[in-house]
Amino acid sequence: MRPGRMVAVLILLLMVLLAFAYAISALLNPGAGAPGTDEVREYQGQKLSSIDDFRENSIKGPQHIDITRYNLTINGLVDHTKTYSYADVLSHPNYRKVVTLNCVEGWSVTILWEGVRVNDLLNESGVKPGARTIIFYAADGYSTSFSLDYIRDNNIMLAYRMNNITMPPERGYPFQLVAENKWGYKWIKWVTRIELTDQDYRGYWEQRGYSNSGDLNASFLG
Amino acid sequence: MDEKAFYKVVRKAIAWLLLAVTILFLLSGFGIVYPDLVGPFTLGLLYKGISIRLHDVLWAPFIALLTAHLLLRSVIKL
Repeated sequence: MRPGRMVAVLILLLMVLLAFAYAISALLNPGAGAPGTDEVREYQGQKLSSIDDFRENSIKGPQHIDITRYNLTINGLVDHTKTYSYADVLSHPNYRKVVTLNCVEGWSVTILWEGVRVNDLLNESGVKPGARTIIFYAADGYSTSFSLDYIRDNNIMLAYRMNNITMPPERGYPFQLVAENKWGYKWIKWVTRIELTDQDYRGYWEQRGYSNSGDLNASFLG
Repeated sequence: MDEKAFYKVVRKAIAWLLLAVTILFLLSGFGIVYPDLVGPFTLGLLYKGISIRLHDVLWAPFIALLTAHLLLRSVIKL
């Protein structure tokens, strides 16, 4: 028996064992909060996906926001820069809507979203004439932008609940944008700041070649 | 068991495991994108949620098994 050869084989076997140990451990401890029994799976006759049906593909992994220190700021071309706590945002009228998120990876989820309208927040800040682009920034450094008209005309929502339960950290707690009719990369999570500008802006994936409009009826490749 | 037989068993085990993990990796990938197809095909075992979780962790055993599968032959020949 050659000891060197046996050691090499054992090292390879150990590597395989470690890989399986990692996979089993990751499977048993996914890190995601279990949705529990309160999650609704049907709304007004429409079947809903589970909040576990998302694939985690954020740029820096799930963000765990300390809600006691959390602020949502609205600035840029506004009459008054506004800073809201989580409770401040939730004190606005809330809306519910079933919307499907389509990821560029090929999967999709249909969820009952509940949140506040961005319009309501913008109306409080007052939008200056000339503002035409709205940029959303996230806690992980992610950003994306839209035309202001899109946000205004479609009553786009900042969601804080999904399928009747509070949005978990890995889904974007405290707020995820429900960017209807846009590819999933426009559905920014962990929103911390909203800026209005008169310039064009390309967000994280848009700078890397994705379409800036992110329209679902067109290719996501720029 | 002599050394030669041991290596043969190890190689076979690695090869079959790699095949199983590869199939599971592919199926779970399709299970994410086509849950309505793969779910019933796997008798409900690979529904979308479990497909996502499996697919996100299977890369590690897949790479380890593929590496072992490719290197074992050379190592044993040494």
